[in-house]
Amino acid sequence: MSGPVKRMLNTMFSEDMAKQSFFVEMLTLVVFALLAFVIIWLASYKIPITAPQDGQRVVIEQKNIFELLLSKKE
Amino acid sequence: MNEKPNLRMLGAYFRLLMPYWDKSVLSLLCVGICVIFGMVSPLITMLLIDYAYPNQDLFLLTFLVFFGIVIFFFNTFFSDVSEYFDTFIHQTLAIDLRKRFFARLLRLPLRFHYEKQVGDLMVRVTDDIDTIVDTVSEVIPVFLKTIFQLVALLLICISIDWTLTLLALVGIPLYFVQTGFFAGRFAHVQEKSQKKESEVYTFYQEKMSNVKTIKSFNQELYETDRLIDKLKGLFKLVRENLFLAFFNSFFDAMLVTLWISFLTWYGGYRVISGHITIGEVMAILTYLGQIHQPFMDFGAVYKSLISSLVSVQRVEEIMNGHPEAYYDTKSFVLFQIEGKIKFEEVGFHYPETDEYILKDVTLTANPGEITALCGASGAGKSTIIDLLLRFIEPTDGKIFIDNYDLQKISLMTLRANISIVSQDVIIFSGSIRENLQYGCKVVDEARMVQSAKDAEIHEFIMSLPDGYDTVIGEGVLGLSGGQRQRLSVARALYRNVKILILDEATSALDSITESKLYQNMKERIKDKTVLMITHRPSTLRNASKIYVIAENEISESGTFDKLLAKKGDFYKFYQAQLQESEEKIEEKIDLIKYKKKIAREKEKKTRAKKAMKLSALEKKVLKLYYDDGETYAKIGKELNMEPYDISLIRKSAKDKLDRMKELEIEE
Repeated sequence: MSGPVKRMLNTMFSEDMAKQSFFVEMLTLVVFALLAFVIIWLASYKIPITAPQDGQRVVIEQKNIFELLLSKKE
Repeated sequence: MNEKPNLRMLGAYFRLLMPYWDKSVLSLLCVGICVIFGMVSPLITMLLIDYAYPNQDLFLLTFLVFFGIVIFFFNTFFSDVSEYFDTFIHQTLAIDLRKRFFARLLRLPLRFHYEKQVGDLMVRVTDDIDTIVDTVSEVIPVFLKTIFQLVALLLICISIDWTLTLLALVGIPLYFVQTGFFAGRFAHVQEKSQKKESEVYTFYQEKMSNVKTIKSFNQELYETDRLIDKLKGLFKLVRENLFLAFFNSFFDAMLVTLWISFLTWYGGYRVISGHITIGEVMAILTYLGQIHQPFMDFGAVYKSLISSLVSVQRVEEIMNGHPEAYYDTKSFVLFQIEGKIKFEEVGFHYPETDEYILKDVTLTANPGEITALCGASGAGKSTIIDLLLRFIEPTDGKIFIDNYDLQKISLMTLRANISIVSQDVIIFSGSIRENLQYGCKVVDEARMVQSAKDAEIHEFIMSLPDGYDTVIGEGVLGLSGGQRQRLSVARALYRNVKILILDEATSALDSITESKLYQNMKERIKDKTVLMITHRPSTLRNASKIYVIAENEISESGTFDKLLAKKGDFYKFYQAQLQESEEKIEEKIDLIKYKKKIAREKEKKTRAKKAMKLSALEKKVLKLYYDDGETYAKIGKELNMEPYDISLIRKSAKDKLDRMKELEIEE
């Protein structure tokens, strides 16, 4: 296994609790950042909601996932 | 006077969380994210029912499924991280609190330890601290999570259908009423359980340390019955707790079921009347089904908070105890002392009584001398040692070391200058080396070996497989009383301090070893002040000066010969001890005689056993005669012998067999 990965695994399973918890803290912050990117992408992506009309599929609404989740169907 | 337990007392423990604020914040953030993600699933179901399925929208269906997977991934990760931080905080807090408790416990005066039962203290350091740590580490995260979850649920529910939501809230006060009802009862049972558990621990501790006495009195069954009685009491409380928990959960479940059933009916009515869609009613009913969870969590936290107040009070009793070294800050520090001890009209009685344990004690112990204290049991000899070590404070008079008032000397440095070898030697689990170096920061191998040699224990240590590294203590290598005492003397000599106290230090040694030990120590103690308590006439001869304590005061003092010649209290004491020693010697001689007698009888029996063995011919004759009922003539014919000889063999074999039965020898 390569150096950085091995080092990371060693830290992850380290008996030194302080070292291990620091690693978990850092990892959490990285996943927070990843989550932020995912949320930004989801917010910017408009989902086309289609319905069959006269034998064809027509886009009836375009909303991002958050708008869709919180919207009330008329 | 103990303060009644209150939340303010518990609040002090929350401050212990401060060093972990960064982890707590991260954990709370993770919990917040998990709460939000936990709310997404019903909304996804709502979109599937209201949009994807009726519109046959395959793209939306695929997108929502992938969105659900992403949510699941983040939810699991943040939930695990939050659990990791909570466990980290919980464990570290438990270690921290136990450390503080134990440190405080050891600092409390000896009298406190005499009054408290060990089992009770064990429960405090384990169960009570666990309860507090559980509450402190869980209350804030669960409380914040509950609030956050509740607000989020209410906002979503109101946005979907506010009338259904408001109706759902009507059931909440009922939940609080029943939680409050059970919480008080749980606390009451908890308090009784903790007390009972302390009693059981104390019982275990006391009996396990006195197995020898129990066995010698044949009280194994009696003690087992007593334990069962105590356990029954504890079990009764556990059952009480179980019944309470049963009723509590039953009422919880009943309340929730009735509440949800009513809401399901009303939600259905709202769909039928066209106010909301099927997807919306599915989502809102799922949310309203979850809405009781925060209340239940809140109820559980409240109950744990109330229960932990009992533990807080028990732990606070120790934490608020007045530590011994409290006055140390303004005290003299003993650095290099000569070791002269002076008692000036010292008296002592316990605060709750006027009866003096020691009265007007004036004595001097000079460096380079062995000063002995003797007297009947309970005369107050050990109280003098307790006063010198400041385990207790004198009621009257003053004690000086090198003209420094003992009360103004730093307790830590005072005890650092005194070594004590007591009758009840305590050997800690660990190697012999660790035991010898106990309380010494500087490691000096040569001094340690010399101390062991002077205490006449070096040869024994070297005969062990790992020498000084041999592990001793409970469940490992057991030492005899004499070996323990010699090890304790070696430990005291190794400390190399100016004042040495020998409290019946050689009582388990035979006179020859004792005399050798004192001979070896002579050189080592020539510049030390040795204070010795003993009953042994042979040991008293080593003393330069003897103080006789009778009826709680010093009745005589002087050298050994002078006191004997005086024919006063010391003379009487000496004669009584001498007689006792002689009686003990006679007892020992009787015991040796008895052992020899048993050994002789055993040897005789072994020899008889060898002689009593039946030969093959005898066995055959007996078998044919008794088992097969043959006559002498027939047996003689079969064995080619005369019938008369057969009758003789039969008779002798029968005699042998009877004697063997008498001697319980099996053939």
